[in-house]
Amino acid sequence: MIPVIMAKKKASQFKSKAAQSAGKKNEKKHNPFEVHINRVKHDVIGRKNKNDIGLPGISRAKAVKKRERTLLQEYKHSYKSNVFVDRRIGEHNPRMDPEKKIALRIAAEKKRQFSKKSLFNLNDDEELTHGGLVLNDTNINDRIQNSDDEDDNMLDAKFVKEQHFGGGLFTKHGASEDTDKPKSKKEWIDDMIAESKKKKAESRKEKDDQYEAVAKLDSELQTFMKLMANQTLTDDDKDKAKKSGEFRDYDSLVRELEFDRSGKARAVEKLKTPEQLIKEERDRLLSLEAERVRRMKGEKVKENTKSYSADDLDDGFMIEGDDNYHVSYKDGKILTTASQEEMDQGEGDEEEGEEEEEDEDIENMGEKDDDEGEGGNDDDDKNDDDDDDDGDDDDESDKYSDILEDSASEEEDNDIQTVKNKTSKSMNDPQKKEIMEAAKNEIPYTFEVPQDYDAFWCLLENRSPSEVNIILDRMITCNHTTLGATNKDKCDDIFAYLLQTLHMLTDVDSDSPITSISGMEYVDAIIPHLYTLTHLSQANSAKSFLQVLDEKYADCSNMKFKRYPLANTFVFLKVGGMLFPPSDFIHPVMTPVLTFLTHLLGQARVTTKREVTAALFTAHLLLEYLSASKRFVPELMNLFNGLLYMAIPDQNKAHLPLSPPFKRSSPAAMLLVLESEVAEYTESKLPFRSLNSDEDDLDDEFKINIIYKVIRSIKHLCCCWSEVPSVHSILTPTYQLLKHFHLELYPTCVRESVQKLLASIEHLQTQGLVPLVKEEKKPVTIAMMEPAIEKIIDGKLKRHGTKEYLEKQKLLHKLKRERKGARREIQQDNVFMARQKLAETLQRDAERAKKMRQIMSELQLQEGEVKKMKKKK
Amino acid sequence: MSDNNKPPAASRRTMKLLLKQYKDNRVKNANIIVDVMQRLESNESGSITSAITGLHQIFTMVLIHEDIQLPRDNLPESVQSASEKFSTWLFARYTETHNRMLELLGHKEQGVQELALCCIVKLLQSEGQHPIKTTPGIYPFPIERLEALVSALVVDSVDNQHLITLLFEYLECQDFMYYSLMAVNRIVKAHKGKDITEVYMNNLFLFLEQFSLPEGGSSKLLIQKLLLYPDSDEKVQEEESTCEKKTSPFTLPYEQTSQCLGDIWEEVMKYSLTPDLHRRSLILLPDKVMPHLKQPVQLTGFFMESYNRGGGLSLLALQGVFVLISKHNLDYPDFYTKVYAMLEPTIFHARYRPRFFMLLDRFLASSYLPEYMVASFTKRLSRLCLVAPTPCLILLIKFIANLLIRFPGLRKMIHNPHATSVERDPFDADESDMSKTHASESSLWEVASLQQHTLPYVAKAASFINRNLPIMEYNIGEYVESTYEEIFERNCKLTVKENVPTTFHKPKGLFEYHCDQMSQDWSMV
Repeated sequence: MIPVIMAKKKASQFKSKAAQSAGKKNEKKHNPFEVHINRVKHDVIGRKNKNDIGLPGISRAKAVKKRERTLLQEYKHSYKSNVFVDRRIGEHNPRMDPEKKIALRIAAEKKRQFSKKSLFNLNDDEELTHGGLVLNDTNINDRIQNSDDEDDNMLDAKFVKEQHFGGGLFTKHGASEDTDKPKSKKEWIDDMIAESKKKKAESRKEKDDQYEAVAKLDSELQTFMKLMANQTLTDDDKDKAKKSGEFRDYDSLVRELEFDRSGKARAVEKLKTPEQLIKEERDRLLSLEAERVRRMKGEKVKENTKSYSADDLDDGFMIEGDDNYHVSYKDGKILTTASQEEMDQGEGDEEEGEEEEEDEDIENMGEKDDDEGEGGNDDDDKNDDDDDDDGDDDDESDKYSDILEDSASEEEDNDIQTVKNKTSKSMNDPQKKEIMEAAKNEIPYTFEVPQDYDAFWCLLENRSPSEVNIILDRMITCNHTTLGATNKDKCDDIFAYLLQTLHMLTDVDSDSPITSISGMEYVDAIIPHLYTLTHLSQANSAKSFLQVLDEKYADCSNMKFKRYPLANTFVFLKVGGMLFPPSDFIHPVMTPVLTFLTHLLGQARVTTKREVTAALFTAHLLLEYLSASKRFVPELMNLFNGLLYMAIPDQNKAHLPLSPPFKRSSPAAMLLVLESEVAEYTESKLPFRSLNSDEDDLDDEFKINIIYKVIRSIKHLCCCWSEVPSVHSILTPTYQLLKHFHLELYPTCVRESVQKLLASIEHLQTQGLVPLVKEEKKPVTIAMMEPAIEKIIDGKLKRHGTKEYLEKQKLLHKLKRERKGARREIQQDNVFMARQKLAETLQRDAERAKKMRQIMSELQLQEGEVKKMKKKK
Repeated sequence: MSDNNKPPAASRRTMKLLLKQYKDNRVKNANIIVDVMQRLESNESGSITSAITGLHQIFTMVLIHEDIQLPRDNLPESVQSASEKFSTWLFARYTETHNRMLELLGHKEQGVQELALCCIVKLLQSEGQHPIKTTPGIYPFPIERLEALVSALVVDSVDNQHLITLLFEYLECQDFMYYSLMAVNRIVKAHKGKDITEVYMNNLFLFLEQFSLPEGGSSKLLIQKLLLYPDSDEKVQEEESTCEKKTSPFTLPYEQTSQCLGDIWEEVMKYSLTPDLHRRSLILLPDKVMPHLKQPVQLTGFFMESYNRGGGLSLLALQGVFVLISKHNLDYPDFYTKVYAMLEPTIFHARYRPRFFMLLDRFLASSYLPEYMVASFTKRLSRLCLVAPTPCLILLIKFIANLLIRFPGLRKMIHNPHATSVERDPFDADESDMSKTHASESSLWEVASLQQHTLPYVAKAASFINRNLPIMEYNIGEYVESTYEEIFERNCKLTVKENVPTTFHKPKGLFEYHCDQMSQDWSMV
């Protein structure tokens, strides 16, 4: 049973009824006992209260009646699947005269009978329709007219808009006849009716005309066709017609443009969006890859296998060669062929081939070259293999399987199994073999992103740095983020792999793709791609970079930062600054990197050659990161001072300034002291690799190199920090250290640079200092409170808040009221239903009791009679 | 014994069974004690441990049921009744067990040692609660047993530190602490004039470090933990109210204890301490010992010597010296000058850096200090900002801020609108006399420099000089122990937003990129 919710309606009814009752007070007087008066606590004069009077009896009766009409009906039909609908005429109209009722019914029946065309056609009065239209002859033929007729009844949309909804009184007439005084409403309505009638008539006339014209045209065409039936157009006629025809200009123009060679009207390719360019690039790579695979498999490219046409200028020696083997193969499965092939392979780069195969396998790139390895196998076997491979690829990689299918279909196009065999077997041809090998060595054009790092590493194995560069480039292009939603994850994977690769390459005993080339040389090949990937998905790259950084930091933390880490940590610190801007005041990646560098400088000890190099690298890195933002780090200066201190040969240099992590008493305090005078020195670059080497021979050249670089860096720092207020105090220790330098041991270039540095420090010192003054702050005004002015309109309570807020509150209020009403209605419904059920039960019981009584009385009667009979006996 | 009908197979039975039997009839099955004690002799540590636990339970039972009733006067054996004889026998076994346990403290396995120690202490507790000999008016603590234990622990040759650390829990109990203090005192006295080994000192110091007397005696303590009365608080009150005659709760005889402590330390000061012990005693003395000494000034020599040695020791001695100066009227005019001289870059890498800064905060807490002195300190600290490692920078900044809050006269160092521009900093960093450093004429340019520090955390903290000073001082304790790791962690917590800024020049290699400065000094290979 669905409870009838009538709260809203009821409320409105009640209101209207209340209003009515207010209006009809004079006419109808309620029984004062039936009226419920809502007491008003504070009566406000002049306010009309609509809800002060209620008629509980009447409204209750109404509600019950309504329920009887709706809910009760529903209840009665609740277990019935069918409803009997009484459609007899006048059955529901109690006021209708029964005689009249009968008369009407008879009339309707008569009418029905007369309208029947065939007495036995029971379905006669049913009409077939389609799309709301009756399907009969007229309709089908006169579509146009019919539809027009429908339209006829409708008024013009514009007219409707203006007259019905446009508030026409003011807008239209005001605009057109502003001088006239506004028409009265009646006049205006008359006008409107007249106009609409006129319009309707007009449109009808127009449509009639049109219809007539069409009919005329039809008939004319028919006669014309009859006339033309026995005549045909000659060429001359056509030409004439063309020349004299109405559309000649257009046609000739089209032709003209078509044959124009000057480029005036040549179609130009549309400018491409970056996505399209990337897609194109990928498509290109895909096609190249397909070709490569084919060559690798020893198949010829499609064109080559085709029979050459007459305009072929090739000498066709390839075909001849093919033919030879073709024939030899066709003679039978000649073992010699296979053995020869195997031999060839043995001589050739077997290892390389195998490795290659592995690569391919992992890349999902291709069908493992069965042809090559199992050249001697059966024809059937080979085919099977091919099929299998195809299947595998389908499973493994969608993208590639497409290509394979393509190639397969191409093969099918050729459709000659022998040709295929021929091509595959023709590998014995040395030239083919060369091509194949070249193809094998050639880098695949498409790359799937490997599932794990090992697979990724296998891709790079045996590749030179430039090849690695190409591989990565292609892999990123194939999996560009603009090509698919999932590619973003793949790019993140590549980024993580690259970071891991960087770690591996710069490790002490670094794994390198080619053992003869040091891993360091690959670093440059990887970095641009890291940059590209970072731009593809910034946040994820940043996160994975941070993860690596965190690991590295944890490693250092385990060593308690006593020693400088190896190159595989530094490389990340360096790369960080290339991917993310180090000059930001706060940056989620670079701030930790800077902290890391600072921590290294602040805590790690410098005692060996490697550590000197590492410390200098760290300092240079930090210096570079700071140089743009010109910010200050005490540790940096401490380190440079410490290195300078190490180079001072005085035995009693205890008075010279030094700050931790350097120690006065450690053996490293004399680490950079020159052993002898050096006259000649050419500056050399420090290799990044040396951050890993543990050799311990500190020669004078290295020492000078370090000192020279330190001095140059300090010079740079002077410029950087010239704006720092206490630059003088910062550089004082350096100045003291430099003053104690034994310059005579150093070559002239170092000497000069030291002098320059001293000069620039002195210059900085002469710059005056301004005592600190706090910025004057504007006096804070006392918070002003806006006076809350309330507009009191007709005594209603003003509610405060924004418009939306008020609206919401209003709706909430309404909702609450509605909910209350609905709940009450449901309760009332339940009560009603309960009453109904109770009544039913009572009735049923009463019936049963009555029946019982009846039966009992009958039985008693019977019994009595039986007893009577017995007595009689 | 009379009922010696137990079969020798008893040794094979499980300990659980034995205990059960013993529990059933303590007199009849008394020989189980002997059986169990035999097991202590075995070589297997497993059987020893089980034996120890068994004996512990047996004697706990014995003590709780007060089976041992020693005869008042030593009558000859013939005169004693059977129960008296049994009692004597039981007591002998108990003593024997105790001695065996003490021997087991030297067992080769640490687990056995610890178990034995535990057993001794627990038995001691049970015995105290159910004393064998009750002497009214005396706290029923089994002093002899404790003394035996302490003297077994504090020995010359064996390092018993791991065992002594186990006693820490019990040393919190006032009664246990008092009696072990007495025992230690006796031992120290016994060592007078003898050779002092390092092992002995190590053992001894562990005890000394745990003796913490409540100031002014135990009556001041709110909660007094007692070994014999684990839930003493309620018990004490009950006993006081109901039956006064019974064992009075233990009150620490403060006079005696402090006297005793003084005696011990007087002896210890005569030892030649190892550097480690020296350091430990320097930490220990000001906090735990000096408040209880009658004449702490006696320690002046010790502190001064340590103070003048320099380095870490002088750092540690600072506190003692300061206590002497502030509480005991020691006249030491150069104290602040020395502290001032300690402010060197090395201080940041010293082991006791947090301690030092906490102390420095205390030294400079008095508002009666002359302004030139505090100005010098402020300026020196701010100079240190230029060389200090990053985690200390926050500490220094907050410290300086505290000084500025405390001494309003110094505020001209961060806000001096009347001064004209100077050629160089008037502060003389090399001057050791604080009255001549001209610090108060200077400004804190160093802190201003830190506003340009690389790490935003530091830069923000340093910008306090641009704002009005807070009213409340910072709690230095929060900052003294910050490390690089904390800063790194804090920086790693920055959220990575979707559009995290990146560079916009594509690098070609590790040393080939836009605006690189490192390629002139570095190459790849």
